[in-house]
Amino acid sequence: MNQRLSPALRIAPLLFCIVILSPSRGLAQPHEFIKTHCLACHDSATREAGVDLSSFDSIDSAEELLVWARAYEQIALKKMPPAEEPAPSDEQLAEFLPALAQKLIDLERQQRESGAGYLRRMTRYEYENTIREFFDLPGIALANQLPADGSAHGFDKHAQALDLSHVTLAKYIEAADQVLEMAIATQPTAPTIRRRRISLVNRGGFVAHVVGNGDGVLLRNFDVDPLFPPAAEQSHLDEGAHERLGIYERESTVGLFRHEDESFNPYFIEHVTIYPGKYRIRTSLWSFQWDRGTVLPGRRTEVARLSIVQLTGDGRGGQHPSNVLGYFDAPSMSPLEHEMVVWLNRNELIGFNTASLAPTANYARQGRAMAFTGPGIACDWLEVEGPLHEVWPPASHQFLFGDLPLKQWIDDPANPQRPPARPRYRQLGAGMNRPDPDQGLWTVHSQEPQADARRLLTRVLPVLFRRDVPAEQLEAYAAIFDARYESGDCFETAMRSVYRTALCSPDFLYHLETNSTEVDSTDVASTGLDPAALACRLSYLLWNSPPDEQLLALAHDGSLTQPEMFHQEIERLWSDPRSERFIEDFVGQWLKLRSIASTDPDRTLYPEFSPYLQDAMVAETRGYFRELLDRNTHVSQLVDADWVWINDVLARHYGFEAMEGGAFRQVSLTESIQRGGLLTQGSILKITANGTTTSPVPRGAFILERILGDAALPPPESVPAIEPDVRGATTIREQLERHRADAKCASCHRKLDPPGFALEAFDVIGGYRDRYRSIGEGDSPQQGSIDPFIPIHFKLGPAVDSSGEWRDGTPFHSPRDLARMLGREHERLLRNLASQWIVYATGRETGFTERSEIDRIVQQTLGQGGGLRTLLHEVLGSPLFHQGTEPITLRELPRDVSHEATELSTTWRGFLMHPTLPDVPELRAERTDTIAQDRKPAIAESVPSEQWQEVTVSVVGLFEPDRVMALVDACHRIPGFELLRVNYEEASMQVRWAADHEVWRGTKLEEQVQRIDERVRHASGNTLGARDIPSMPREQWQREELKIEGLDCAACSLAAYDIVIRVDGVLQAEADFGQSRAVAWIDPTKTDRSQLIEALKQRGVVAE
Amino acid sequence: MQRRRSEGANSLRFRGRCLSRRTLLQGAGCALALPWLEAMTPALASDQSPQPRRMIAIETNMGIVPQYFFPTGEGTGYQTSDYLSRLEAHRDQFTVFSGVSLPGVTGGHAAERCFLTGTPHPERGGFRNGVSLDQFAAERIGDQTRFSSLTLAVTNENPTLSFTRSGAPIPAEKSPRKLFEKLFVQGTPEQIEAAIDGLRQGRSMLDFVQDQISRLERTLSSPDRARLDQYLSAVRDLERRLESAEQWERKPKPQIDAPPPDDITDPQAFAQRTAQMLELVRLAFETDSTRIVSLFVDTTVIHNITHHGNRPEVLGELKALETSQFDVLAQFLTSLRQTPETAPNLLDRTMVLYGTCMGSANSHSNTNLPCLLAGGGFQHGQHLVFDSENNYPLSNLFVSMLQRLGIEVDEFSTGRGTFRGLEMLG
Repeated sequence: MNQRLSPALRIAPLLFCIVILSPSRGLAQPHEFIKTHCLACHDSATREAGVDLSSFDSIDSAEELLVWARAYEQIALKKMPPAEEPAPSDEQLAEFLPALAQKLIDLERQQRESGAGYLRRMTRYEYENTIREFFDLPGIALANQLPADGSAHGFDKHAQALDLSHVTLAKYIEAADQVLEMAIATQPTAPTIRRRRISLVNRGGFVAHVVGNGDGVLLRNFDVDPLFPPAAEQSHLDEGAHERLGIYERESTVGLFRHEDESFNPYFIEHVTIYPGKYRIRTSLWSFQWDRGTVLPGRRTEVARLSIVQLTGDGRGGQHPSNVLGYFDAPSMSPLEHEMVVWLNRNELIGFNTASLAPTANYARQGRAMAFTGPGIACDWLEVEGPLHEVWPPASHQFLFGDLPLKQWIDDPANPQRPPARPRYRQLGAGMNRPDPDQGLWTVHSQEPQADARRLLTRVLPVLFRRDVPAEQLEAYAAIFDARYESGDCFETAMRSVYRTALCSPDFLYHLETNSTEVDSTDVASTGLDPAALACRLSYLLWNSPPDEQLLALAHDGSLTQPEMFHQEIERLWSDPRSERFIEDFVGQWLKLRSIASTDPDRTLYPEFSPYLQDAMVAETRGYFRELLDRNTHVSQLVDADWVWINDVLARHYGFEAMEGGAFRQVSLTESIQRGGLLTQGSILKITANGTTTSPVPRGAFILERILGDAALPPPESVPAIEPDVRGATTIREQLERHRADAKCASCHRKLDPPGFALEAFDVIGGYRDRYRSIGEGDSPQQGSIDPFIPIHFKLGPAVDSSGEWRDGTPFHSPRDLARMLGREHERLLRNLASQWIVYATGRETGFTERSEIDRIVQQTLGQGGGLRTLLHEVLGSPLFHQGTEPITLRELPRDVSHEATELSTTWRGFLMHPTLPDVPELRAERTDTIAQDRKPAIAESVPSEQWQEVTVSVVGLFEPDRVMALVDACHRIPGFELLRVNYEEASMQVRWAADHEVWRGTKLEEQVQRIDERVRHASGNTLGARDIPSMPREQWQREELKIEGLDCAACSLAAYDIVIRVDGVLQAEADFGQSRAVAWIDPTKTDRSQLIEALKQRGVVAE
Repeated sequence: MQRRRSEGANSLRFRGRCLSRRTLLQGAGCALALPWLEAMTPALASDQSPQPRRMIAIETNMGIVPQYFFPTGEGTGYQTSDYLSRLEAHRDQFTVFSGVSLPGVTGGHAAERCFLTGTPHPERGGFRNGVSLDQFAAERIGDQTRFSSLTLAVTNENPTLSFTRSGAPIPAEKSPRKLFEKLFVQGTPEQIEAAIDGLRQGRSMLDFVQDQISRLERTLSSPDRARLDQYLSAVRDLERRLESAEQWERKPKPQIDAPPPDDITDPQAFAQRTAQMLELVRLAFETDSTRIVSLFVDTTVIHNITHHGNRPEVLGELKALETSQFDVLAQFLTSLRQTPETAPNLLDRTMVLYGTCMGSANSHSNTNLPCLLAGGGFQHGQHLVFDSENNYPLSNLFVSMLQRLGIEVDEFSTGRGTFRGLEMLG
């Protein structure tokens, strides 16, 4: 499989040999030929098969040209005229075909010259990547704020897809401001690197809520957290009480059973990014089997998802835009730590999901978690460390301002200037991370503004514009600086104006692919790209971003155009992690992976579908395509391979033996499994279905158009599309028989349908089927046959027939048969991929003119073993890539090029949806204290005082004897305050406070209880407080004891106590869920037992 | 997620009227403050037409189940249908069409971006869209209001109905809250001055890049120069808008009593979100902030049930959802009718085009489009029936609508004349 790249990559002698033919050859002869051999069937009246060839003299549309190009092919292959008609002689053909070719090439050139041109602006993804590279802001998010690009000839990289309106331009201006805002340093030192360990369960978070309802549990030492019994008959009361007692801040492990859904988005909300930058994140994950209160070893390694979530607007609800970071293994009962470096933008946080679990909801279940048996995923913690700035000012700032110093702003009355405006950094959302103290207004300082501006621009503009910048252009930009600076802007603001202008100029936004000045430039067709433009074309192809220094240096010294070096660079760029962008962007469009989520499979018919499965499908296709190129496998493996690239969820979905974990690996096929090649991958099968039903037509069309490069003409307008009907037994296959019966339809559908028929063996989510799933009639499948936790509500309908006949009459019986047949179409597969790459790389479509050169590329590739990376080299070595450059002679390709995985010192197990960033090893912060300790006021030092005031107050919150220690602890934290005596029986305490201490200074005696209450509440996290001793004598109090059912949870007891003590007339209370009781001492003139029961009932507590 | 916070945020709602300018000006003071440039028109031209005529075009993109939409019988005596019965109170105020489509506009879902352009064959490689009805009209009569047109969408994605002359899509405003701010929230004097300064800086920057183009053009072939022209016209368009923005910046925005709406993000709630947008559209018409609106109602969330395969339970669900859309339309027509104006009411001078790009979403066909036109001063109350095999061009309706706006054209897109059977009043 691991074929060696063939050495003999050579470029052919001059192509376009057809072009050289004299255009003056008479056109009378073609007319004669067409009249004799074509028009009997293909005149404007008969239009056999919808083809009208009477328009030879008036071909003026791209569509007609396409028809004629096909006619050429049919005649050249001697498929036309048909066998029953008289055939033209070889001499006639030898005369006719070149003349026709010449005519078509001329027409195509005319159309292109009168067309809209091929000058391209950057796509929004290129724009984003370009900024990321130049400014070293590897995660700045810009693409989604720019208007979406169009698509032409299948790609957003084609010039026609890259329109520009005033709206787009206005967005570029906004984006430029955003870039500069993030790039420029505003403080003299880097933000402090902080490392925090946070829990999935937290104050105000939704996870606390679902855990309280039994959709998760808190764990310690692989067992239930003794302070937080799992919700059973009674759900936990009042998250607020739990927060106040610090239940969520004890670093307990969170075990979740519930999958993310419309109303549940588990996020780690206690870190919301303030400073954009690189952050190291670590998390510890494992899984278990929960059995009604017991933690047991799990069924397998489960998989959890981490994503980066952008809080938007007011932060309400879920469904924030999020990027899936990846899927990470959670082995049974064995915590696994994952670590990686990611970029976080302002307002972003980390999201979590129990990706591999089936949807389940305990909150609605009788007995909640204590009645549930099933898998759970445990998250011990998440650590966020950063921002990790390797240098300060950051590289982005140094790119713009070089080594100019940052200085504090001083108003200079002699030379008044407007200071730069600064954003304020503040705490965001529910984040507990805080910004550093503001160090005042700092900005770049220049002694010689005009000279410095010119010095900076001389370095920056050629980088931004990706080529040399002439002196007069530099001076024009410098003049912007001068004008702004003279008008009173400070150095930084004036430079911002220049940089903003540069970022919105056509020089930056457009790929100006100028021709080499070395060659005579009078004839565009004979000149090639200049080396700098060639470097750009290469890097925007393989990295979707600008060239790096090495590539630019090679362009500069001229060695890039030497074939050996050129091909070495292709290899170098390919083995760089940035080439993953090519895979993602190219496959996303070629195979339409970008639209994987555009249909939502019917939940009744496909209950096993999950976001995890969908992301795994995408990762499979991307990974498979990379493997093919890395290994330089033979082209047939695009569609026909005896191995697959899968992970655990795909192994289950495809019916392979069980695999552990989310990581992808190669698995060999067994006889019984109908997989192998792109067409049997879930992604392709899902994209070509509509979520409810499959149809052979779009699947067949996809294969023809995307894989074999044979675009189907749209159906004649009079043919009604087939109305899908999934009631009962009518299969679409039966309906399609109608097509094949009608001669008009059959001409296309004979080609279209067969590959689609073979894929009928796969449902809309790419599962193998031998019977159609149905909602109406059919047999009931066995419950639990998909997953014991996924109930089945669909029926099994009619049997699937995946047999058919290939267009040459060869029968097939299964998808494997089809794959083998397609796999033999080496030339068509290669020709199509070469053509797709040319469109993608150059933004120009391929037409009739290019066909001979593409044929040559294909033959060259086949001659060297037919490998796909060989094809890549052949395409990039072709003049089509160099846009009409003079043929360059390629010598041998360097032998020992192997793809080395980039070493990242970070560790994780699973799979990533996008590459993470390289580690920043030298930067590690000491872990800051836990948040719980952050929040607690420090223990106060005792102070001698002359002015102690003593008072006895009633204590609120002493709901059980254990709380006395909490009271002692809280009082210790109050400066100038001493606890003298506590009486639990009477819920009172005797205290003294120092009237001369700064904390208490000015306190009047009549407000002392109120002040003590405030202090005690603050020091106890709002679990304790003080109030006046009730005026009613204790002997008149009435004791009421209530029986309550529920949990042995201190926080729930506090919650019940809170309910009781707040009833007007309750003087003192106790609550103890452990002993199933609450006691209240009441003022009988104000309240009674029934009011207590009612108050509890209103909050969901049953009391008697 | 943050339940607690969200309740708090809910009660905060909208903090005051300076929000939009603050948003514009946040960040560095030198940041360009761009107001709503896509549609700014010169301030001084208003009040030219005492009796404005208006239009709104609404497309719902996942089809409308035809058997519940199309009435039976022709002319004024037609039997209403399940959906049209929701509009029965306005029967005399709309015309429903059968057997119409946009010639050559095929490609199933691809047709959704051609509903107002009528440009044929959006599914083909190399497709290039044309100008949309609303933008064509805005170029001609949009100079009379603060916003030459509003391009709106109910969506969480990026679809739009509006396309510039060069076929570039105009991104739609998706947030009712932001729309409200743009229409009605005035900045403080300092904010206005800062915004104007930003606009001037923007204009001088555009002057500069314009100069750069002539230098670049020397190095390009002529088709490529044509491509760069698109950049140039974008620069000029934006400049013009910056200039009018500057004039409008000093003119007070209309004051209204209605509270700003809260955005809804749930894609399932498209009917409710449409109602929110339409209420703002009515306010925009009433205050003469604009006269031309396009609204894309993205119902992709129900895409899978539109492939109902004739399953009764799925059809039922779909019908309930689509009925709620017609209720929203009825509510909009009622509110226009209840808003008095010189001509009896707002609806009399406002054309409401409502329709979809697919005749049957179940099969992705693009013929026999369910469509209706309400209001605007036509002889309504009828069902115009054309050949279901050989459809009548809907683009002719666009010609009629343009003429109704006072624009003298005989052709638009594939339309080659006014719509047969639809008579203008007065």
